[in-house]
Amino acid sequence: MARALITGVGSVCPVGWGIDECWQAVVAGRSGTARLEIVEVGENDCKVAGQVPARDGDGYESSPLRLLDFYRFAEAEALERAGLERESVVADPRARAAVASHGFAWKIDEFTAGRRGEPVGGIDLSDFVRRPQQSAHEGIGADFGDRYSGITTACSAGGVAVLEAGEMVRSGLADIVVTGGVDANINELIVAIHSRMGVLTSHNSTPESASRPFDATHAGFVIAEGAGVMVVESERSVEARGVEPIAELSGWGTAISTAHLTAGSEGGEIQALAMQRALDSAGAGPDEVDYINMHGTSTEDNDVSESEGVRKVFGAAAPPVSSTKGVTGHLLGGAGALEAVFGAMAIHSSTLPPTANLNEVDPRCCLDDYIADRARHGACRGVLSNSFGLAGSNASLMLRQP
Amino acid sequence: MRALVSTSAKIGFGDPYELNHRELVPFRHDRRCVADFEVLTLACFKELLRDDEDLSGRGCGLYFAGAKDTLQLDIDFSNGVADESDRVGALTAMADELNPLLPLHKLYNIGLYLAAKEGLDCRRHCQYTNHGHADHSAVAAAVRDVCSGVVDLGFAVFAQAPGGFELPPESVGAVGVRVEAVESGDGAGDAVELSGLAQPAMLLQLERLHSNAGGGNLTIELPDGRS
Repeated sequence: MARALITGVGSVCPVGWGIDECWQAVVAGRSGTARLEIVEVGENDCKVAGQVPARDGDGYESSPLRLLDFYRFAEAEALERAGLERESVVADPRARAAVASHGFAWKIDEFTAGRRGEPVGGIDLSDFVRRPQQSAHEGIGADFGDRYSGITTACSAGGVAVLEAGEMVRSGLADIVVTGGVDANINELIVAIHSRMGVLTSHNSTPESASRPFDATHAGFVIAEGAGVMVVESERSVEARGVEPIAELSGWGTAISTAHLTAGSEGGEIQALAMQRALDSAGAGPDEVDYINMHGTSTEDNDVSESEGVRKVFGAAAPPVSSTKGVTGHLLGGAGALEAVFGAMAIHSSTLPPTANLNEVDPRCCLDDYIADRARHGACRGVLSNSFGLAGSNASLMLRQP
Repeated sequence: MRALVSTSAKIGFGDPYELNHRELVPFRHDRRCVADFEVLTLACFKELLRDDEDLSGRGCGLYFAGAKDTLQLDIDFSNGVADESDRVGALTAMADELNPLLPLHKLYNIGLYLAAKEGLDCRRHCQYTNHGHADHSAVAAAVRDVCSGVVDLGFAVFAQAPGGFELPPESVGAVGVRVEAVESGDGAGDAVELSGLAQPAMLLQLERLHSNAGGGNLTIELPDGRS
């Protein structure tokens, strides 16, 4: 069975462009959430978001195709760090791509103009508006043809995409897989809908600390945008190229909860099943996990049930856990991939990132060691990275030292 | 090594649509926008389950795919649902009126959710959406995971629903493929070759499957020369 090794990572998120910038902020616990500026929303809607800053300079640079900007940047960074040229990867029949995205989410102005055939920022959006998901995935992966998989399992999608990459390498189907997730879903409709669902933060007056996973005052997640991309390679390819892997993608598991369309399973049972399957897939015992990057959305439902799920798998000896969503907010389809990137960085840099804005743990969150305040330094042998989605799609990834 | 494949198909909105439509009542499917995709997917999936079949103890994989650009109606002011002169207010009213889940055009998982409620031990799932090869990805993943032993049974279903944009009625539908191994080989190595079929070859197979829909099983021989 082929090993799947991570040889390059790239990222864009509300705390910056590039993995160095993003990881530094995550380790420092410096939150990138802010008052929502991109669109006007209803009086009672959430007014906080994780908006990616302009690449050069302050502020926010609006673009109807920013989703592709994010992905292409993160992909280029991951390939460069892996020592690969995109052209040669695309041309390699043993290379594939598996990427999560839910497609373009237009601001109302952009959408209506696109429907009318009026250019937006010099771009004719009519076809993009008619086929937002297909267009997005064509933009991301068309070069790979039928070696591209576009994945859409809601908030677990990024994790599922990475899992697919692992499966492709492990089964011998591919030697190189470019994988990740990207979303740019901050618009009027998405904010309104999620606000009605009651899942977005109500901490409008303190936007910088609105995403506070596991905290006693957690009150919903913060919608964010960005991308996380990694290059997953077979051991054969790594050895042939003579590159140093960052981490090993050693196992993965999925499980569907059918208890409720939107809520987590009671007692975290199904989340636990996904985690246990990831451990089994990796041939790892619980004691080989030194850190869990939690899905940790900052909603009561998730934070409590996910903690219970961890408890079921690890018992009283659960490793330290944190949620990097306190810094980044929730990238939706991009979240699982970005957090897998952070999991790889935790192993690579021997650093466990903290949960930003976690001051007092919700007593219903039943674990003993939520990393708060500051990062911890020390060898990290194994990481579990959790991604859970609407309608019960749960995925867990196991990463190890290479 | 052979992959035993059986198929189902639903084209258009006949009785199965009405039947399965009711299963979505809890989600208040009162507008034909979001649920077409899921209804077709579920109807097709259900046909793949054999009568009186006990799947307990058998690990299953669900692999869905399709074109699901369905919800643009929700912010199409020309359809009268929303008032363009008060866009934020209209959105708010719309979100209040509808089950908040319905206009969420990111709700990809209803099909997975409903299928899993059939009592399957779902050990692997994925949904491939809206790129030209999604159907290929779904079937290839089912074959890959069956042949490598990750799951005992794979169900790949791909559907297409228009959501208010131009799409001829005959193009609205779904095809389901059930995959199970009938002979064990080298596992992963076998999956490589079948999954590695170029898309035209895979689609040709699916075309045959589709034409045979409801006609029982079709055995696909894996190509020679596998690595």
